[in-house]
Amino acid sequence: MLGIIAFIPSQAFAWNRIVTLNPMVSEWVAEIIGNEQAKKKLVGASEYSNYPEWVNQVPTVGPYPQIQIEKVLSLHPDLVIASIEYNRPDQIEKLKQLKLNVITLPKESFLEMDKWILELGKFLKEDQAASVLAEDWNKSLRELKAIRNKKRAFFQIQFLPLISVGGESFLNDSFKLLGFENIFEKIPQAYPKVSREAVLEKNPEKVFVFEMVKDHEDLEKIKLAWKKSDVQVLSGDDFSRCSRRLLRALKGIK
Amino acid sequence: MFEEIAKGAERDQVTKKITLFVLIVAILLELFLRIDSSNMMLVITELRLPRLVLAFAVGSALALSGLVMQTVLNNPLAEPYTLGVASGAALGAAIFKTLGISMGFFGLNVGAVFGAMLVLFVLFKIVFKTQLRFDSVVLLGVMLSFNCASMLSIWMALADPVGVQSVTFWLLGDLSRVGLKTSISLLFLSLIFFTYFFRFSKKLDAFLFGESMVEGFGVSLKDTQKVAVILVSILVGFCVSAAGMIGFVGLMVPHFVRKKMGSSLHQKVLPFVFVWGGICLILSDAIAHAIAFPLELPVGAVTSLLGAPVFIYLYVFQKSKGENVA
Amino acid sequence: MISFRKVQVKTPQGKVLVHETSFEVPKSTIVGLYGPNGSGKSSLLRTLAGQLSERDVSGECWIEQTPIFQSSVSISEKARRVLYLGSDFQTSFHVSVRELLDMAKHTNPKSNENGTEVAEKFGITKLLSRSFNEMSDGEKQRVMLARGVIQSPDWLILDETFSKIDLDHSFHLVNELKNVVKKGKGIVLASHDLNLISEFVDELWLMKDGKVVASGLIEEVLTSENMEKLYPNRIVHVVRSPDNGKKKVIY
Repeated sequence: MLGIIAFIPSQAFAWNRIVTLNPMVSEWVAEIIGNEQAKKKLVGASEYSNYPEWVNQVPTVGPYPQIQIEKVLSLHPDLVIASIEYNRPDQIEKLKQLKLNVITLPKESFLEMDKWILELGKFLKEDQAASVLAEDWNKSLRELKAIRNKKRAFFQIQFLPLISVGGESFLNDSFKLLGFENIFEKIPQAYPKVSREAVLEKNPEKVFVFEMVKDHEDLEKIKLAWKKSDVQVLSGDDFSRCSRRLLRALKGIK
Repeated sequence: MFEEIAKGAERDQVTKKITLFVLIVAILLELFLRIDSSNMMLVITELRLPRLVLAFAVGSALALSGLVMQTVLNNPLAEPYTLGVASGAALGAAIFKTLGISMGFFGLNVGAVFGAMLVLFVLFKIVFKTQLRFDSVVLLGVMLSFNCASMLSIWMALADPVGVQSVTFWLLGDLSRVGLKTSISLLFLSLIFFTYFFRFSKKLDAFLFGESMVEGFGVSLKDTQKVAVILVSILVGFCVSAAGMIGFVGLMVPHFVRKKMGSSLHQKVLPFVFVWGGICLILSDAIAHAIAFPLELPVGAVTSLLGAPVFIYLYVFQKSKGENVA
Repeated sequence: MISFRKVQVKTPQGKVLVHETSFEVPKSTIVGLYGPNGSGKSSLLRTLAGQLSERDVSGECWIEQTPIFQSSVSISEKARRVLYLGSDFQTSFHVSVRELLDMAKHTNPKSNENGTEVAEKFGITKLLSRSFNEMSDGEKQRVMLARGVIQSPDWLILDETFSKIDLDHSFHLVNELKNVVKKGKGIVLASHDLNLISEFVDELWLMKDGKVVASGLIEEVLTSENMEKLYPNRIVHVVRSPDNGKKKVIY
């Protein structure tokens, strides 16, 4: 009897119309409440929310640096999930002023993602699912931890203009765990623009490219540019959100 | 002689009616275009209305500033954007904001005013020293604009690296960032400045034949220029602080109003410049908001898209006429 | 009355444009100013009109008891005393002739001149609704002269303002201006057309290298000797007009 009473309230208070304001949150919501539920409940997501596949069909509320507030309103959400790292504070404020139920998640930290997952889970009223995922995350961290020798690496997000990864990005932390020291770790930005000379000067041992590389020829050009033979091309999409997708992708790093 | 006056008055009446009509259409578009009926009142009052008020305030203020600058510099191509004043304002605001100096007016940063004034000051100094021709003034202005814009980019890169959205805001304009209170106060400011300029229409008229003729009309050149610079700086400064850099309104509106009215006398032209400036920006904003929904186009991009060709046309037209105005 | 006392005009770099000079000109006089290019005519005239920008000016200038060089005097006051008109006029804006004449009237509301009448007299009535920058140079100059008359300052300074006006119009305008002068105004006119000047003026001043080398009644000043002073390498004959006996030059 008590069990039933305990069960019903929590379900009754579950959210039914969720709007996420950046791609990372979209992925996590799907993970935490499960695809089946998420398909029904995720009524709006920011542009570039593309994982899992079905999220592409969810109505877009605009790109996350500039969310279309009117669109969000028109979806009549009962929960809007923003991220302090990606969404504009004044837009978050505006949504609150419009009496929407907005939760703002803190900046994600790769090594302490479990806390972040638990917090999101709490808001979604899926504490159990969240704690499972948090545990799993930590387990994966332990598994990923390097058994290899440290290597100095250069992370190329984009060639023109040259954008790399700085110390403030989860990519920095995640690859560090794998044993790759980011040559630009000292830069206190997430994705700084750097100079080619700086890269050549720092002489990394490995290069990770997160852009589309068309063919073998292109790859050879990149190898030439950095005077390196150890160049690995990775899918930008897999690595651009601090999500389980990232974990899976990290496992594929040689 | 009397038929001329009568015709003129009649033409003015028609212009007034057209103006009112277009204003109403613009307001309706801004408020209702692409609106979701399920949330209409909320969206209109909380989101559309502040934008509408701000659009009119900034549009009218920029048009006014453009007109005054064109008069006082005797250059039909002058306006806050082309002369780098807007860029200076953006730079000033960005610097003050980052340094934590937040004194302002209803939340608008006063650093923008200082930035604007500095650019105008530099501009006047150089023009004064070298007696530049009109196209050179514009070239100088464009250079100052680039200078400030690049300084702004550098500042942003160093002081606000995650500020991608900020750069778009400053460089391309955004009418959705300030609230209704600030918008209304900016509107009042614009209205007050309009009244002031209107009162001193005759003094502004004295500039129409060039700097050397100003005093011949009994008007103090230096004093009027100083006052104009200060007022325009304040106006442009606060506009940029509220809405980022929005160009070409100050250029297009005075030009078209003068053309339509067939006159450059400020008493005639000022009211229409004021209102049409507002109308232009309201329409641009309505377009910017609705055309790629849910993507929000920056309003400055829309005004530039429409205004830059006009600028080019005017520039070529002026050159071919061989006008050599300093 | 114009009262020039020990006025010297220099560039900021120190080059002397007008050497120290003093003179007085009573009301109702037309003064002609003549001299080769670079003799300092424009500098003198501009200084006379209070246009001092970028020049070092010493001395005093009084026009009808108003000290023109003092900054304490308001610009509008100065504009009622003296108006300087050059020879080239332009505007980047659409201003009609009528509007320009209205501006002149507004500058000096106490002026007794009636815009329509002056326009009539100066033969620019049909130009009234035209845009200023559409007109020919000659028309612009005539319009500006009309403006000067309407604005009715005590002294009109005309710096080659007749340069593009044809013979017919020139004579007509000269007569109109003489009427204006009779009402108690004064004119100082600089021109390269000595024959026009001789038709027009009471006094003649000759300038060379920044100095006023001769001044006085035109009869006395317009002589072959003085012409030789101004143009040592050229022969200029001074003769009398068969029509009205006024001195003319032939070269």
